[in-house]
Amino acid sequence: MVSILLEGVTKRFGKVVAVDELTLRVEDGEFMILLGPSGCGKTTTLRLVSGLERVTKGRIYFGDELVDDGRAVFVPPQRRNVSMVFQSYALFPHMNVFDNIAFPAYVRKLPKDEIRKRVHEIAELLRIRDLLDRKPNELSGGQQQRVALARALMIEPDVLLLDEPLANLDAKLRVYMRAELKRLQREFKCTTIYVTHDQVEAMSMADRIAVMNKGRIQQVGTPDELYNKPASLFVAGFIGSPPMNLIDCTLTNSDTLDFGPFKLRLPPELASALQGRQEFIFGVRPQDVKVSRREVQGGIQFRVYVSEPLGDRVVLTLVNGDVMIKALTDPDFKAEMGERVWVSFDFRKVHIFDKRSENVVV
Amino acid sequence: MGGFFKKIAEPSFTVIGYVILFVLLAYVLTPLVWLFVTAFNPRGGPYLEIPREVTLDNFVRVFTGERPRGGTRTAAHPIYMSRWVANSLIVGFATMIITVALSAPAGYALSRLQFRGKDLLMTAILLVGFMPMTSKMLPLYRLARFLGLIDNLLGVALVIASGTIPTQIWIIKGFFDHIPREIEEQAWICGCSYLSTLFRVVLPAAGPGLAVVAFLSFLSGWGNFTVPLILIYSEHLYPISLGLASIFVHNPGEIGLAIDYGTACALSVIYAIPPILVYYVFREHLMKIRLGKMEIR
Repeated sequence: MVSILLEGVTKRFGKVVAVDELTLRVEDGEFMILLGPSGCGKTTTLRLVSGLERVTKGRIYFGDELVDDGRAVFVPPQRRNVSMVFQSYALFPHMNVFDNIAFPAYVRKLPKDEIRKRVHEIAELLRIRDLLDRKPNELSGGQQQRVALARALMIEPDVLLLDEPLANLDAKLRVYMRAELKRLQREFKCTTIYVTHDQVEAMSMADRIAVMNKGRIQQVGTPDELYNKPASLFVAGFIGSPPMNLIDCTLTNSDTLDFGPFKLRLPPELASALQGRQEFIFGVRPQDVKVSRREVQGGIQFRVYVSEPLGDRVVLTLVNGDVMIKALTDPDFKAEMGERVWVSFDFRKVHIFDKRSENVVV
Repeated sequence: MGGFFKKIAEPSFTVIGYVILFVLLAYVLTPLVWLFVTAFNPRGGPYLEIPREVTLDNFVRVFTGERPRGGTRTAAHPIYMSRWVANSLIVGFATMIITVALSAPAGYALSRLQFRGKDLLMTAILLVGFMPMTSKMLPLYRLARFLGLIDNLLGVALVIASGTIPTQIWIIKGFFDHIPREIEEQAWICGCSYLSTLFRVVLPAAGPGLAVVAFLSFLSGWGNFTVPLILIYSEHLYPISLGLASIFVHNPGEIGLAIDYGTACALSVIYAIPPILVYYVFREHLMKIRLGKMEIR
């Protein structure tokens, strides 16, 4: 078990900067998830930690040990005692499941009896005991995924690296394995870095999430922090489902936001935080949009554009002029298309971003 | 037009179709039938005849060196025939070993490494592979002379391998291309050194491909005629190809020497077996060769 520190790490491939001045600390035993759209550098970061890639600049520490500084020091992947599950699982096609799982132990020349015992234990844990004689091409995607995981856990690694391990599974299995993985990680207590582009996966499993975009870390925090206090427009838009409503607006009369078709008067403590700037982006989650059939004090009139009942709730798409927002309501809120409704916001739960820097203001 | 196609389906046209097929079949199969019938006929002669008895005598004689019944002196002393089979085996296996040993690392490197001029190199290798062996015979002969490899089976294998290696590099590169890089990376992370990854993971995973390359190059050595024709002079060092030619081509005019057709045909059948065998064993893998690319499933 070991903590990991990436310090000002940059990785370039030719002229392409894949990872840009990234600093991140993963605590001992922590489940850290790197979350971001494809091409944001999260897989490259994982490969830098594994030693499959070398840093161009910066340092990586495992505990106190410097493992890569891009120049003189480099500990190759063989000696980092990490395990990795690739998105493709990378099972050895010519070996059966038993040998695949046992491979890291064979390489470490552990005693045969011990290997046998351990493989059976771990196969039992992951419910693949009946498959030990099969070849990888005789397994389903979910079974292959569990074999890859079993192989990764075979040697009790210092660090477990997972690169979109659930991406190739069908939706039902993915939800099931999400819970299994989280339970396993808590059980094994090994430092884990998990890469995904799926925010639901990240929110449900992580101790902390590092949201990445364009090679940089946007925000690091617990799922709650990221959901309730997004630091930037990117994080706000990436986390939460359905995504946060983000609407352009300008500040007029020092306490009123002008959205074009309508205006919104802000409470004084919010308004004072916005002084000195003019253009903002107003963010509010669909969950925090209050919709009412009757006129409410300070409410804004919208028309129902479309209503999508989901059983436990209804997703309403509302329009006012060229402003379109989504709102979540109770399942018994039956709205007709074109119906007039009044919308109000809980100002404790709105987020206002500076349009130029895209950072949060309030 | 429609009428024409209808007519084809009429019985008279079907008969004509069968006649054409039969003629084509006879054209293709006659030499083979002739060969097999004579090989199993202990009294086989230069003409295709229905054997009175079917035995393996001719095959036994290939390996024992016995004279045929009737006692006429024959060309190409049969004592050499078993040697010719052995020589062909030597050349085949030597070609195989040299080709695999050199084309596997080259194919691996070309599959995994990116470097300047790689495409050019690949094209050059392919072009060299397409050159007919005979066109290089003069320099190869002079070179073999200089190196003292005349009348030497290893020399023959080296020259044949120089012709097979380029195409086999392409084939084997195709196989390595289909082994995901991640499998190697996984092995490294599991603690496997770079060299041991090659032997424990990459080569076994490429096993079917290596086997195909091995047997294709074995066949090149086994079946080659031109190279031994130019490099081998002693009769006891002939491979089967050259031996057969010496029976049928070199000697028949010589007075007093009869050709032992039965034994010669038996030898021909032996000569034909490996390709058939190889095709049978590797038919599934061979079907996957497409323009120098192979797939592993």
